[in-house]
Amino acid sequence: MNTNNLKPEIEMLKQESAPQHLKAQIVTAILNEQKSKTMTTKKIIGFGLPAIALGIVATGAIMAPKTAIANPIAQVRNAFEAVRDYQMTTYQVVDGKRERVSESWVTNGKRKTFTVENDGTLTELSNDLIEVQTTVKGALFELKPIEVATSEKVKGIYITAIDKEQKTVPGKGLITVEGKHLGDISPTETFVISDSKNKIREGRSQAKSNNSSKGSRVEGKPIEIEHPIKDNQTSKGKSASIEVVGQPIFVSDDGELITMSDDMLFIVAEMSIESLQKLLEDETLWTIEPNQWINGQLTNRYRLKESFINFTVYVDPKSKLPVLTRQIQKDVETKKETTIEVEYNYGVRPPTEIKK
Amino acid sequence: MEAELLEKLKAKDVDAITNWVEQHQNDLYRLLRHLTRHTETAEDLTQQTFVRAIKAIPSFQGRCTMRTWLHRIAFREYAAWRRKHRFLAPLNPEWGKTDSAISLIDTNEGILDALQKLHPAHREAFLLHEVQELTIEEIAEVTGDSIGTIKSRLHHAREKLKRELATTFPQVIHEH
Repeated sequence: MNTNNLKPEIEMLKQESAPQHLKAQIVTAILNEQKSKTMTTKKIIGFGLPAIALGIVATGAIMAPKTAIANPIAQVRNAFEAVRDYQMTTYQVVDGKRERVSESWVTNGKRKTFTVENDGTLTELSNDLIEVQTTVKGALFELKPIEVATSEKVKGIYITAIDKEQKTVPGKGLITVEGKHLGDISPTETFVISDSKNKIREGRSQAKSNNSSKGSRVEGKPIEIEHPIKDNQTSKGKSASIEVVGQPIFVSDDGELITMSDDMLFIVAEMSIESLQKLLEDETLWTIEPNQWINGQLTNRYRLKESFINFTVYVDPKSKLPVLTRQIQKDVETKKETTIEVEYNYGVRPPTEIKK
Repeated sequence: MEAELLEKLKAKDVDAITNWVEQHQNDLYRLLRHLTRHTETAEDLTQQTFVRAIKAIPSFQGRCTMRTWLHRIAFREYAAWRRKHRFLAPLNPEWGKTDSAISLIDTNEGILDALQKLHPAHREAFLLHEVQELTIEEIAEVTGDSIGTIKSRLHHAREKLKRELATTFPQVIHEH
C-alpha cells in the first residue's frame, strides 16, 4: 500500500498537540526534579492504587497546583476518625437487579462479615478478612511484604520477571504466605514465565503448611530457573509483578511495590473505612462533583480518576462520611456489567442475635 | 549551539528548559497520545520523559539528534507503561475510549481503530515513521531493534492497515 493514500489521515494524526498547561507542568516538574518521584508514583497508582506508595505522594511539589481540592477530601478523612461503629451492606447489581450479597458490622474496629445465602439467611464468614502477607524473594527481585485480599480468593500467585528490554525472563522466587486463619490457602500454584512468548512453565510449590491457632505459615518451594540471572539483569531496569486472584501487583522500575490489594477488596468484600481513608490520601486521584443525587440523597461524588476500576464514593455533604461506594466491573468476554454497591451506616451496632 | 544548550540545561537554566520543552513537547506528546490513546497518560509520560531526560543530559553524547534521543526516552517510558498496562488491558477493553478529553483526532476513528488493531510493535513503527517522520535508522535507535526488523514491521503495518481500512477507505486499495 502506498501510504500516500492515507495522507489525510496521517496529517490528522500529526495535528495532535500538547495541551496548553503541559509546558508549565513539565518545567515545574523539572525544576523540582528531586521530588519528581511523586509524579511517577501518581502515574502508577492511577492504575494500581498502591497502599504503600500512597504515603509517598502526599507532599509532592508537583501536586501543588491541584491542592485546591485538598480540603474536601481531608474533611472526609478527618470524619473517619470519629467513627467507631458502622455497618456495610453490599449489593450486586446485574441487569438492573439489585441483590444484597453480604453484611458487615464493625464495632470498635472488630469486624464481622456475613454472606447472604439464597434463602436470605446470613452465614458468618469465619475468615472473611484475613491479613495475609506475601513475600517473594529471589535473585531477580525482592518484594516487600504486602497485604492481600481475603482467604477465599487467593488462589494462586504468579511471578513474572521482566528485564530492562521489557522481555520476560526466567525468574526465581520463593513465595511465603503468612497470616491468621489461612485455612486452605497455600501457594500451590506458582509459575514462572520462562520466555518472551509468555509460555508458562509451571513450578509446583510443594507447600508446607503449619496451621495453628496463633497463625499459619505456608511456604512455597523456591522456583528454580533454567538459566541463572546474570548480574547485569538485576539492574534498575528490572521489575517484577505478581498476580493474585487475577489482579496484578507490580514492582515499579524504582523498586516500589505497586499493590492492588485495595482493588481486590473492592471486589471481594466491603471496603473498610480504614482502606477508604488510605485511598483518599492522594487527593489528585479524585474528581469531586457536588450535588449529586443517589438513592434519593444529595451527595458529593468522588470519582476515581485514571484507574481501570470504575470506582465512585458518594459522600454526605453534612457529615462528610461516605454513604455509598459504587464499583462497576465489566466482564471481558461477555461484556456484561456488574455493579458492586456498598452502603455505609454509622453508629450502628450489630443486632445481638443475627438471624441465621 | 547545542553544547551551549546542554550546559544551560545541566545548569537548570529556566529559560533554556522552557524553550527546550516548548520545542519538543508537542512532538513527544503526539507520539505518546497516539500510542496510549489516553490524554492524561500521555501527559504524564511526556512529563516523565523530560524529567528523565534532564537527569540524563550529562550522558547525552550527541551520537543522535536531541529529537531522536528524546523519542528514545519517551518510547521507553511508553514501553514501561505498556508493560504494566498489558495486565490491565484485558480488564478494561474500553481503555482509551473513556478519555473525556476528546481531541481532534478522535473524530477520525477509522484510522485510530485500524491502528489499534495492529500488533503493538507494528503500530509503534508506523507511528514513528509516518507520523513522527523518523527515518528507519532513527526508529531503530529509538526502539533498539534492527533496521531489518523495523522495515519488516512497517511492511506488516501497511499491509494490515490496507486490509483494515479497505471498507472505510475503499480508495486506499484502488489507488496504486
